[in-house]
Amino acid sequence: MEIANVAQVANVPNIYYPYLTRIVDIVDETDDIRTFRLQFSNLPSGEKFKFRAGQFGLYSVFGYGEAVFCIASSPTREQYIECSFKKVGKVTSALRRLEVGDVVGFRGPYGNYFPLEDMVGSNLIFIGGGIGLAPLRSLIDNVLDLRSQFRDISILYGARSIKDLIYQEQLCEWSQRGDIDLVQTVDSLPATSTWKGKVGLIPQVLTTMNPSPENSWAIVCGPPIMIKYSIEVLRKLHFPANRIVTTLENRMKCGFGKCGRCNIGKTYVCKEGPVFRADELQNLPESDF
Amino acid sequence: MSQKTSLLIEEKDLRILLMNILQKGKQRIVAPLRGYDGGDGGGDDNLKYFFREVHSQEEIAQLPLAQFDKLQTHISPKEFFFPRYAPVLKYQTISSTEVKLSDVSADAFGNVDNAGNAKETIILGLHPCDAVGLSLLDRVFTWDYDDNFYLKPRESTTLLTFACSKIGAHCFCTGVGGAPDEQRGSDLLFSRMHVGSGDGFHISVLTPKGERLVAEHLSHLSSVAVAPPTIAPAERSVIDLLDRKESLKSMFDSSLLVQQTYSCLGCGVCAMVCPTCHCFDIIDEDHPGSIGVGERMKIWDACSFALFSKHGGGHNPRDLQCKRCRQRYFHKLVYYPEKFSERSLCVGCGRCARACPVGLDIYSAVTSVTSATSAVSAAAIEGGTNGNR
Ligand SMILES: Cc1cc2nc3c(=O)[nH]c(=O)nc-3n(C[C@H](O)[C@H](O)[C@H](O)COP(=O)(O)OP(=O)(O)OC[C@H]3O[C@@H](n4cnc5c(N)ncnc54)[C@H](O)[C@@H]3O)c2cc1C
Ligand code: FES
Repeated sequence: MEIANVAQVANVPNIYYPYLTRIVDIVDETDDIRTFRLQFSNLPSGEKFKFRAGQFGLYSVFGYGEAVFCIASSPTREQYIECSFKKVGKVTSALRRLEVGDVVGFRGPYGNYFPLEDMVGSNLIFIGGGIGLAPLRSLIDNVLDLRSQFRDISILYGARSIKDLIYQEQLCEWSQRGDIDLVQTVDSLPATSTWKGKVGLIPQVLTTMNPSPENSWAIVCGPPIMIKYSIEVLRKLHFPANRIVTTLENRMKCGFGKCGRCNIGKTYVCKEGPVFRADELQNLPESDF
Repeated sequence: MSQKTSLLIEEKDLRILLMNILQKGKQRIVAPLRGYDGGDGGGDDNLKYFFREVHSQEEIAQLPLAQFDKLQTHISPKEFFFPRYAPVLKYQTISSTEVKLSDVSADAFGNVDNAGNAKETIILGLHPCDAVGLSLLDRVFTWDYDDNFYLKPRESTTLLTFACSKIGAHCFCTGVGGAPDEQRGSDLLFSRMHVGSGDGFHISVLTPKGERLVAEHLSHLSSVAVAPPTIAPAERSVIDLLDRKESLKSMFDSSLLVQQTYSCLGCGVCAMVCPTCHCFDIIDEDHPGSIGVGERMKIWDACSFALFSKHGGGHNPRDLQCKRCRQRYFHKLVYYPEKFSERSLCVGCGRCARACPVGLDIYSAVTSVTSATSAVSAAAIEGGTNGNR
């Protein structure tokens, strides 16, 4: 997979030194998932923060520590970056206590990115589960900002229940665009719901959607189990393994290949990932991720 | 400067030399010192020694120079470049909307000169395996991103290594491509031999750093055409683990590997004493009594800890202790060597075996697992995969 150009970030005197950003907007996506829009407050004048869809960073609350999230906004929207995080522990709880105007530390961007250039001229099918829509959204918005360069775009997004769907406002916008085919699904529904989407697990819905593998790329992000079964379905639908891409979320601390935490076999997810093609996954020792 | 490649020095002159270096105060000296925080070492002499800065002439007078070719410190010298616990950043939260950050100096000794440079240091009394270990760590800490917290003190340190004259009870350097008199990574290599009227050392000058130290402090010695003494062959035969790499790989899912590591407690001591383990965590540590004012720290971690690789979502790819042990063995013997085109990340110092509370050791585990492969094919033992532990 493509390796990001680390030269821009390498050789700074202190690789652990973060940028300071300020929260300019907060959206509550679900009960426990929140999105921050962040603006850089100490970039040297004239310097722009650059990244590619698929890359991640370390976000910090000083006194609590750092946590890894993908950059959920598109690199084409240069005024800010966004992250969506689920409250699971120390840092994510501390982040939740912050308000608009507050300071968040950020190191990055790290890791490789989605092979956007290779996808030009192809049909794209995005398959996202739960908070896995976050890394996908960076690429989706990136692609939509360059809409004419791509052919058919479909998005299959699923969550456990209606209240677990994130980016609802954006889902609504996407569903109104004529140039995207958006399919939403939930695992289960309360009896009285007015839900117009599908009910069922993502791999099942994907099977019934039966997307054509012809000149297509599939991009899959979500929980490990959903990724696994979705790739199986895609393979059955004859998607070539080298046109299925996904992201892995191994535990990370440093983000640049030093702390020894994120490896699957000899592959360091923070440096050689987080974006992998399905054919690359086949070569990783399975029980290690 | 004339290139001196071989020198001879009497032991008593080496001690005088060290006293002079200490007195001049330009370089600090780090050497194995006794009992620093190791108690009585539980009866094992080696456990009584730690690399520490030498502060006084009395300490130099007591340095067991004659033992340096046998004595191994409890913890490797890596902690001078990669300390157990050291700040990488200072933060000061004035309010939630205002935070001030400041850099900390890249000096593991917590001691810099006015220009912010790490003071020159001499580490004396390490063994070839330790020096090789540092050159392997160099690869990690310079991999695309330079970690100056490691590199700055590394650049300003000269390594005075002592070749081993005796293989320790747990050593197996020759089983991972090393040798008791290997030169890699060292600046000066001392080998024990008879010099003049008494005990002394043959010194091989190996690097420009070593040459500089010699020019500064040993210019009175003239180069000799004496080869370093040959080191006596190992007293116990050592199986070559490098030859076993492929069979180890074929045992990735083997129940034998699981059985070999049943007893692991996950205490992490193997990683703490290892000269090449480099896993760390990054944590924020507020100053006592204050909130949001403190330091961001790099702190040693270990892949054998249960939560080491647990995802935020709860999934843990290394949910069983045997998988964590496997990660450690494979990282040393397979992953790192393949990634960096090196022979092995394990240098065979044997510290992990000596320190393990349940007597586990990488050498025995790997040799016995791979001995079985020759007899049993990997397929025949399938099914034991990561069983209940
Ligand atoms: C490349 C990448 C991208 C990611 N992107 C996102 C993203 O976009 N959004 C997002 O929300 N997350 C994302 N994650 C996951 C995210 O990094 C983690 O959820 C986050 O680091 C958790 O930080 P924390 O300090 O809040 O949790 P921690 O306090 O570190 O706890 C995390 C988990 O560790 C376990 N744990 C901690 N302490 C204990 C204990 N004492 N006993 C037992 N278990 C314990 C728990 O399972 C807990 O859920 C990503 C991860 C990676 C690697
Ligand atoms: S996150 Fe530290 S090595 Fe990958």
